[in-house]
Amino acid sequence: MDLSKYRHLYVSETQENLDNLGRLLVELEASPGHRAHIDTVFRLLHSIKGMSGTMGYPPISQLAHRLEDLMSQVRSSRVPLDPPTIDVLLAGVDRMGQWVAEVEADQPLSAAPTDSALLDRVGELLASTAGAKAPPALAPLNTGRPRPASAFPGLQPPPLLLTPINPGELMVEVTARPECPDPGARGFLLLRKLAPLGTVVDASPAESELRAGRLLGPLRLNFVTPHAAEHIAAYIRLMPDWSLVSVVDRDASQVTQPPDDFGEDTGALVAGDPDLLGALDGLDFDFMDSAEIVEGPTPVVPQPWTSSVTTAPSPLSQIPPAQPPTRSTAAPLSPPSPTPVPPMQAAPRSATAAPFSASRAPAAPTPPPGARRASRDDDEVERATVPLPPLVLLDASLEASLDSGLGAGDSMEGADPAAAAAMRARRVAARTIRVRTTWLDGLLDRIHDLRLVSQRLHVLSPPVARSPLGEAVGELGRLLDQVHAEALSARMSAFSTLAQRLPRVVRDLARQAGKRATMLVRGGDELLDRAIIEGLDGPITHLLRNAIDHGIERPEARAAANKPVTGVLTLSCLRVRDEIIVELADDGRGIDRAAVAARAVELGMAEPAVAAHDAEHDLARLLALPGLTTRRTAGALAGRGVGLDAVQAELTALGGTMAVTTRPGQGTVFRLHLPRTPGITRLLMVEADGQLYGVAQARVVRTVWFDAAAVERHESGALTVHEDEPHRLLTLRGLLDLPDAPLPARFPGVVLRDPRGPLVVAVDRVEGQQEAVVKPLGPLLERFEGLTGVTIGARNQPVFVLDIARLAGLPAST
Amino acid sequence: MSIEGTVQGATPPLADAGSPPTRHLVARRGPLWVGFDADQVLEVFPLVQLARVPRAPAWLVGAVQHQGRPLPVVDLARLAGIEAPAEAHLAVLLDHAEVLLAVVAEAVEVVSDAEPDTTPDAAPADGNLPLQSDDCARLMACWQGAPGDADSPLHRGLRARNGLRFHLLDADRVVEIVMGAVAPDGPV
Repeated sequence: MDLSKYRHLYVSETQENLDNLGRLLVELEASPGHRAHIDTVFRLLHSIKGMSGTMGYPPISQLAHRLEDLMSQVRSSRVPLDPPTIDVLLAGVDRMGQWVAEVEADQPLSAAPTDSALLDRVGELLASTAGAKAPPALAPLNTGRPRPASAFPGLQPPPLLLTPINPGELMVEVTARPECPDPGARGFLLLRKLAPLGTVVDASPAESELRAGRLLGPLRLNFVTPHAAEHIAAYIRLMPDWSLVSVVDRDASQVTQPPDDFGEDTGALVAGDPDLLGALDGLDFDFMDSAEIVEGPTPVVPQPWTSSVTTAPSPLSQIPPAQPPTRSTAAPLSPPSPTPVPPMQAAPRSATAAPFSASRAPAAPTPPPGARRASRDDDEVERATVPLPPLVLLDASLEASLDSGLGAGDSMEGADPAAAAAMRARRVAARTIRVRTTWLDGLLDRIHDLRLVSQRLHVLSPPVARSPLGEAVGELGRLLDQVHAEALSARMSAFSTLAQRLPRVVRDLARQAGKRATMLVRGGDELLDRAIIEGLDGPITHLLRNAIDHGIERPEARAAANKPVTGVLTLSCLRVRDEIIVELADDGRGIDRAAVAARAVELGMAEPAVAAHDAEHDLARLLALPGLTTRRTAGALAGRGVGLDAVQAELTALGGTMAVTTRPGQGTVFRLHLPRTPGITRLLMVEADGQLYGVAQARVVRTVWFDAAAVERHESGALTVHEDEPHRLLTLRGLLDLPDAPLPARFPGVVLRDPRGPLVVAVDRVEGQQEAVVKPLGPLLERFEGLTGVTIGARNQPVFVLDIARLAGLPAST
Repeated sequence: MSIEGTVQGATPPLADAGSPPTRHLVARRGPLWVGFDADQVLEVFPLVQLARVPRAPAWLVGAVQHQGRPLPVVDLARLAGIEAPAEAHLAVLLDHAEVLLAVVAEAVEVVSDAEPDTTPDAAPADGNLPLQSDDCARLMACWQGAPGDADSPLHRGLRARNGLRFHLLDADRVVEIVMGAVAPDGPV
C-alpha cells in the first residue's frame, strides 16, 4: 500500500502533537502532579509512535516508544517528573521534531551522535525506577499465530449478546475511541467496510440505529465470512476509530486486543490477505495511530476457520506492583479488576449483557481519584468502555448546521450538559477536514484576481443608473466579497497555534540566560489569518529573546527589588475592529531611554536632538535603528544589534506597526498592530505626474486643500498650516523623484500620521479611497525602498502602494 | 516571422517542448539585437499600461500587470549604457524559475537554424548589428562581471541567419544580472 499520499497528513498531525507535547511538558515542569497532562503526554507519544510506525519511520517510532515507556513509569509514579526527566522528554520531542521536518522535506531520516545518548538517558531514567524494577520491554508483538485459550487462565468464553453465533460465524465487538467524532456513523461505516468481506447477520445496535448516529457503547456483530478471525480483527484495527477490537469464533475463548498491543503483525495479517489489502485504500486515516502496515506479500498462512485473534496480556500488567518512589504519595497499583460492565443506559439489549471481555477489558467504572491503573493497556480499556452519557438535544444553531443528525426523538432531557458539549464537539469535528494551506493560499489568490477583474468591470461599466450591466457587475462584486470573506475565514487559526510553543521557548531561553521566567498567554482563542500567524512567529520569538536577555532580571536582582524571582512574560492577542493587537509585556527592568538615545548618538545613528525626541516619543523607531544595541558585547541571546529592525521590517511586510512603552523597574510592553485581513487594504489613491499611487488609509489623517500662498519655506524645508498647527510639507513628486512642478494656488494635500510631527504631502490629485487587494511586489520590485505592495488599477495598470514615511526618510508611524 | 512594435495582441507562448534547439527569439533594442533560445522565452506581448517604478533606475522602464502580478520590464540597452530610442512597444517575458522579468524591444524575430557568426568586425549588410562596435564593447564590458560560468556564460556568442546577426544571451544570466543590479550592494 502506498502510504506516501498520507505523508503530509502525518507531518501535520505529528507536528501538532509535538507542539502540544512541548507545551504540556513545560506546564508539567511547573505542575508535575497534573494528572490529565501526564495522561495526555502519554497518549500523544503513543499516537506518534503508532503513526510513525505505520508510516515507516522507525527512528521516530522507536524514540516515541521509549519516551512512552518513560511516561508510563511516570504515570505509575515509578519515575518522578522532575526537571531531568522533563529535559529528556523535551529533548526527545525536539529530536522527533527534527525528524518530522526531514519527513516533510522528503529526506531520509538523519542519524545524530546524540541519538544514542538520548536513548541511553531514557534508559537510565527507566533503570532508576524505584524498587529497581526496570520496565519490561514491549509486550511480545502479536506473532499472528493463534494462542490456545489455555494460555490465558481466567478467560471465560464470551457471553452471547446477540443471537448465538453459529458455526462459521464470528462475533465481533468493537468500542469507539473516546476521540472518535461520531461513533454511530463510524459504526455504520464499519458495516459498510465489512460488507465486501462477508455478511453481517446481526448487529447491536442495529444498522438503522447506527445510521442515525446512535452508538453509546460497544458495537457487536455476528459476521459470516470466509476470512480468518484474526484477519478480520487486524483489518478492523487498521480503522482508527476503534480502541478495542475483539473477534471470536463460536468456540474460541474471548480475546481482546487494545491498540497498545498493535504490532507489525497487524499489518502482516492484512497484507497477507489480498481481499483485506485491497480494502485498505478505503479506510480513513485521520486517527490512524496504532496500526503497522507491512507492504508486500508477507508470508502469512491463512488460519483455519476456527482460529481466533489472541494476544498475550501485556507483561506490564503481570508485573507485581512496585514500590512507589519515595517522592510519590500515590496509592499502590491495583490489579486489573474483573468488574463486569455496568449496564449501559442507552445501548439496546446491553442491559442484561455480561461483560464481553472479562479479563483484559474489565470496563470497570471510573476509578476513584488517586486510584492507580494497572497498566496502560487497562487504561485504554477503561477509557474505551466507560459508558457514554445519553444524548441531549443540540442547540438550535448547531442543529441547523448539522446534517442528518438527531431526530426529534433523540431529545434527552436532563442529560449532562458537559457531555452534551463534548458530543457536539465531536459531531462538529466530524465535519472538519484538513486542507493544505498552499491550496487555500492559491484559492485566495484567485479570488483576489477575480476581485481585481470585478473592480475593473465596475469602472468600465457605463455610468448609467440601473444599467443591466452595472447591476450585474455590482452583484458580481458582492458575491466575490462573500466568497472572499469565506475563503479568509477558512484560513483563520487560533492565536494559540502560535502561542502554544512559546512557553517552551521562554523556558529554554531563560534557562540559557540563567534566569527564571514563565509565560502567560491571553486571547489564545482569537482567530487570526494564517499569514499573520506565520508572519508573527519570527518577530515574537525575537521579542521574547530580547525580553529575557534585556528585560527580565536575574533572580537575585529581582529578589533585591522585591519582585518575584520568576519573571512573567504576558503575551496577549486582542481584536479591535479591523485591527489585531498583539502585546508582549514583561515585568523586568524596563528600557533606559536615555541610554538608548546616547548609544544611538555614540554610534552615529541619530542626531542628539532627534535621539532625545525619539527616546521619549517614539522609542520603537529608536530601538529599530539597524545595528543599535546598548550592549558592549553580544550575549548568547541578544546584543548584536540585529533584531528590532528585522522585527520592524517583518511587521511592515505584514502591514503592521510596532509601539513600545516602558517604565523603569516595572517592565516593557511591545504592542504590535496588525491588519485583520492581510492582503486587503483600504487605500487612498493619489496621483503624481499622471500616475496613480496608493497610500494605506490607516496612515492618513485626512485630505485637505491647501493654499500655496500659505506655504513657508525654510532651510529645513517647507511648512504649511493646518488647524492652526504648522505641518511639514513634502511633495509626492519630490518623494518619488518625479519631475518637479510648481504648486498650484490651491493644491490637495494628504495629512499623514507621523511620530516626528505633523506632515502634509502635496499631490497632483486625490482620486479617492478604495478597498484594494494588495499583492507582494515580487523579488525584484521589493528591493526598491518605499514600496509596500502593488494593486491593479481600473485600467489594468499596476498601482504601487507607498510607504510615505520610509520614502520621506521617516520612521514607520506607530 | 517578424513582429514589429505595432503588433496587436500577444503572441502565443514560444516555449515548446518540441522546439528545435536552434530556434531563437531575437529582440531589437536600438542598435542592439539580442537572441534567446526559444525555450527560454515564455511570451511576447505589447507593452500597454506601463507604470513607472518609483525611484527606479532608467533601465527599469516600469512594470505591467501580468496575470495579476506586477511584471518588471527592463531595457537591456540602457542597462548596458547603450543609447536607445525611448519608444518601444514590445516586451519579451523570459522564463526564469523564480523571477518574472520582461525585456523591452522594438521588434522581435523568430530565427531558426542560426549559425555561429565568425565574421570579424564586419559591417552587416542590412546594418542591423554593428558588430564589435563601441556599443557592443560597452555591453560586453558591462556584463563582463556578470554571474555565470564557463559552461553557462551570459554571452553565448554571435549568431547569424539570412543577414540577421545577434548576440545570443542566456536568459537566466540576464535575470541574474538584473537582480544583481538592484542588489543592496549595487549593480554588478
